[in-house]
Amino acid sequence: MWRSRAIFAALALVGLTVLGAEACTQGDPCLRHSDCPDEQKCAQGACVFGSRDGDEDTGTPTDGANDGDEAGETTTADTATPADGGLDTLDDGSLDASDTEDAARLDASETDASATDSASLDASETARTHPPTPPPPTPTPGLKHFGFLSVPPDEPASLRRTP
Amino acid sequence: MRAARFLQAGLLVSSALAVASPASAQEWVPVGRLELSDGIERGAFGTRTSRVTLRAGIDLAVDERPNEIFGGSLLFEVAPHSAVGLDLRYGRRLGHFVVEGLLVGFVFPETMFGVGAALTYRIPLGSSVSIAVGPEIRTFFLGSDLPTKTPLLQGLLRGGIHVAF
Repeated sequence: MWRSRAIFAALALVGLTVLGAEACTQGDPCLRHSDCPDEQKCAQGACVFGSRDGDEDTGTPTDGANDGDEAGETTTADTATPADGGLDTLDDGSLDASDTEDAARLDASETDASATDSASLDASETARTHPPTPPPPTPTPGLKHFGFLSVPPDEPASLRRTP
Repeated sequence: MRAARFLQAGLLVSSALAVASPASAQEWVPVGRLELSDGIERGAFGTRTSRVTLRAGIDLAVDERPNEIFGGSLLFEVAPHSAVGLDLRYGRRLGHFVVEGLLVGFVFPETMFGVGAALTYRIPLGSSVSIAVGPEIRTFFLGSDLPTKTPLLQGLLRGGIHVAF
């Protein structure tokens, strides 16, 4: 009796030990702020630099901010930036994105303008040499078309004459 | 004569008080517990193995109602990260089993509070020592350690030793 109980207890402790060893493996997502080192917080399953105060449901960079370079720069004293590195990183990202969009918009407008100019020039030259042709008539729905004449479709069955 | 009677009554009362044994009803019976627990936990960003936790506490039961157990423990998360907390428990003994409800919280380095339930099977190893094993589920929904408002769910397996004093 004693022996079986001791074996059972030993097995339970071995199981707990194995589970504990597995918990030491790396690569698990962080679920709590205290899973991360000091001066870092858990956001979207990854540790990022920033204050642990407040709720981080939205607006926190995930993998990109965890690379270390940009986030590390925000916490250095030389740049005198606030400790909220995640937000700073996000702001920088949004500025970069807007800059890129503006540049794209400028390029697009220049391209459109040059295209419009060339198109208008081509049109004026074409009008001088070839008179414009009228567009073909569009069929009216619900009418039968016989050349220039359009008639309504067959009369209803109630109005048909019976022989 | 009157003084002699008074002296006699006084001696009788004092002797009765000296002989009377202290009342034994409603004494608290303490049981110390030392347990190790581990399992899995699920939070806002996934599921993983939980931290290994060492629990050192004491259970109290009134001798007239030994099936009703009040307890408190200190919690030490030891691996892979450290934290310190405590829990308060109320349990009902059902034979070798004990069903418990608990309030649990961690206070260092961050705070996290929640509730849980546990089932413990006690294997007596003598008159005052027993091995205790069983599952425990906990959910944490308050505190600065939680990155989101999503509660942290834990399913643990506990094992340890209980010693009656």
